[in-house]
Amino acid sequence: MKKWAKGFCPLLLLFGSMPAGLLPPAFADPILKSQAPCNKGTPDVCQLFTSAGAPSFVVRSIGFRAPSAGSALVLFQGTLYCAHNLNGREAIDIDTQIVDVETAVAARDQPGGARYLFKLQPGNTSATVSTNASRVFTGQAAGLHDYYFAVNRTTIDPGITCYFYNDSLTVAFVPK
Amino acid sequence: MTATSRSNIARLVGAAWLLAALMNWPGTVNAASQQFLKTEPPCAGGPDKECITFDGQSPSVLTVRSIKLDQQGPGTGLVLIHGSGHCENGTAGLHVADFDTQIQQAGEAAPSHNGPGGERVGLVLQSSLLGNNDVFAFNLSALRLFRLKSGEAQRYLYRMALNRMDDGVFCKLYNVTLSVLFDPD
Repeated sequence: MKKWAKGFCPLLLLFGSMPAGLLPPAFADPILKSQAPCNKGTPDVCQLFTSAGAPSFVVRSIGFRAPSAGSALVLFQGTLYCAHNLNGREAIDIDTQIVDVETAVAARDQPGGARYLFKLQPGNTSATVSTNASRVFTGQAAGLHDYYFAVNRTTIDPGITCYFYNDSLTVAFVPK
Repeated sequence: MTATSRSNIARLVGAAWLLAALMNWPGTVNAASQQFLKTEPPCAGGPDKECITFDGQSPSVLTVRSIKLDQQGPGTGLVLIHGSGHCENGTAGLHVADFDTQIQQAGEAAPSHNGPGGERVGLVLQSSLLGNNDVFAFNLSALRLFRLKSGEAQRYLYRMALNRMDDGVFCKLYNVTLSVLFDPD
């Protein structure tokens, strides 16, 4: 037997004697998935809402098939613009949250949650805020997962119209 | 060497390797050899489910959240902050809320909007109208990359420096969650 081959023998014995689960694993690379911006309205907004609509709704969703168990970092990117043309000072108060159940009601105090409360000045006025968000989902099993950006409006005074712009979800999946 | 003694040696070496792996010795398999994500629960202890309320009487520098990364191999940590907030003026006249935020590691100087992972929130709030306060919302999302040396543990902080908070103005921050994506070399 050649000298170099003899050198491998202890390694072969070492790894050959161990259960497969203890062998150094071949780590999979992380996976990124995103989606095109959401510009489905006229003008090019993603979603419009007023006091007339349902208080709880989903703005965007993304499906992701995990090839193995792991963790997912879900990122949301977008802006919110609200406007009115009334003589009084009017309020908007919404909770947003990245969730993995379509019917979940967004909550500011839950993972990936946030609150946006602002008041519009009297007259033809408006306000804009970024609604960027992130949430880590640990313990994700292999298979299909759906993630949503959910909104729950607790207050939106009559006369105010709000617009979500762009609104894209991105998933960075890290295999276990 | 007989087959039995070869098998015994292999078992002995295998047991030593397993022990070393469990003790996180260099060269063995551990969590630092692959990417991983770490996060923390949201911060929501206030009566309005806010994380923190601050005003002109608050300390000029505040540490809002922190997250610890245990000892790792060399690599890069991408630290993200998630959260929102609003400031409110309940008094007559224009009033200002102005503060810097920054993702930092332990030992850094006061947070600054000029530093990496830094931001500034500056608001001029209108006068209260017959009890109808002026309120303005903002987003806190930010990120920052850190290098980690081999075997180094690190604590990452989300800190604020209050530049100006007028009397009658207060602000609330919501959720304020730090997450870390660690990428080994």
